[in-house]
Amino acid sequence: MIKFENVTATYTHNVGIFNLTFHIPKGELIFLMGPTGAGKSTVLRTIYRDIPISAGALYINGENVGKVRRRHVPRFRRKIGMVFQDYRLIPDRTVFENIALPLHIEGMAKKIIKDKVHDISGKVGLKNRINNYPDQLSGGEKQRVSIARALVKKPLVILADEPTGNLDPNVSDEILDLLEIATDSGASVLMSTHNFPLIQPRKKRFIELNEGRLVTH
Amino acid sequence: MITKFLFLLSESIRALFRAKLHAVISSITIAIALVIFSMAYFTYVNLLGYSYKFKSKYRIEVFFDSDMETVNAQDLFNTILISDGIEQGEFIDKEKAADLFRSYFDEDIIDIIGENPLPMGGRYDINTDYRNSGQMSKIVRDIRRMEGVDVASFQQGVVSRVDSIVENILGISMILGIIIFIISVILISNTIRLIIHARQDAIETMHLLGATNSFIRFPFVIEGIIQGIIGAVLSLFILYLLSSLQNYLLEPLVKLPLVEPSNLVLYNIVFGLVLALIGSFRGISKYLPG
Repeated sequence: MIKFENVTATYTHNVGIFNLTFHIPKGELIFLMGPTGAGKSTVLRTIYRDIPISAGALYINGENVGKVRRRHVPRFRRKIGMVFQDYRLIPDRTVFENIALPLHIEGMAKKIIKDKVHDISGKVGLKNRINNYPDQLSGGEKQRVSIARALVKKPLVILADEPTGNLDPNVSDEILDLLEIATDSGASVLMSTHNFPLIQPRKKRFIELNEGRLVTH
Repeated sequence: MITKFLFLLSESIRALFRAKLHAVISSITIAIALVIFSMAYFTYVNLLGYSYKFKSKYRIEVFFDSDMETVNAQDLFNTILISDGIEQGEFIDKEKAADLFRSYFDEDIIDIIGENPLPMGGRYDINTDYRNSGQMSKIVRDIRRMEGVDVASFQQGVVSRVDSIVENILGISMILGIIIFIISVILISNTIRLIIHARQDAIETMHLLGATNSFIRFPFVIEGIIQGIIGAVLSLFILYLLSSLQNYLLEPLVKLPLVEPSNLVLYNIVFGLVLALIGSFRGISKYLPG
């Protein structure tokens, strides 16, 4: 589903990711490990085409990301669900509205949006918080909203950038459970973290980076 | 498509209510710009009106040869009357010339020299399009070439002076108008940019979720349109107050027949919308990738 072939993507001369090759199959959760500055976020940003690829090739479901035209980037990004450490929720919108946003972007009908949002909010345990605003939620709840927003459009790929970075261990475990459940629908999940003790018990494959280069695969 | 349009429309209206203070600031900025612009326009229209009124008094005076018969003089008068640029004319026979002499000098020419040597002639009003020094000089040159014309003249010094004053007013007004327009656009786009800056995170999130530039821009443009209309209505209200104040304070003192520019309501709404739209586009462009 996600295929890196000798990918190099840099911000400046010596900062970025270099010659990365790895593959993430459909329906698998893989962790992206490494210390701060290892290039984890760069890998994710390269996938959602926020940073251009300077060498190599990157495929998402067979589509060459480097060849996606600039004006087609928004359409391309709709295939990807994103979860961020700082949640990136829109503060003046309710939980329902935040989750519904990707569906509005796709131009879905109101009734379908309503059904989908209620369905997914039930799955992530937010049924009773649907009319609340982000500032009325705990960190864990905010991240659930963020995950629900990523899952609601049934993406091919889910990218989670340090989603447990601001959460305590118990809540972090629940978030990991949700991401693992997301793979049931066939989505490939790539989650960056530097918290090895959190992912160790899961016995999942992980990719380790250091200074933009692959250490363990 | 319609679903998306309706969603964006409702988003725009909701966004206005969410950021009431910003909407008010933006509308007031537009209103102030429109009031300044309207006042400049009002001054321009009135100055131009006065210059037209003054120019309507422009005349060309023609004196025929003194030995010309009355019938020939009338023919010549009529020939000049149908020339390009002549609006209407008044035939001056010897008697009328003597009357004019009396009115100017308060004496009878016959009493002074025993006869009436004053030539016949005509006084001609000029068509609106010809009321300038260049055109009037040309008309006078053509008249002078006619057989039987002794003298043809107009007050060239005064006409040239008025021409240059009117040209200066027009030039200064145009420059002022352009300056006010540019300042208004900068002011409004900066106000809108500040508003958009506060929503920068939301814009970035929408980009990451796959929203296109037009999807993000649309609510801001609609907001701009609404703010433009509110600003225009506000400016008309302020102008109405200013006009009432002027009537109350100035009119008893200065008898100036001021003209209200027609279509001011339409101009304010159109100009308010144009300002708001340019401001919105300029404001949002910084936050949208090319």
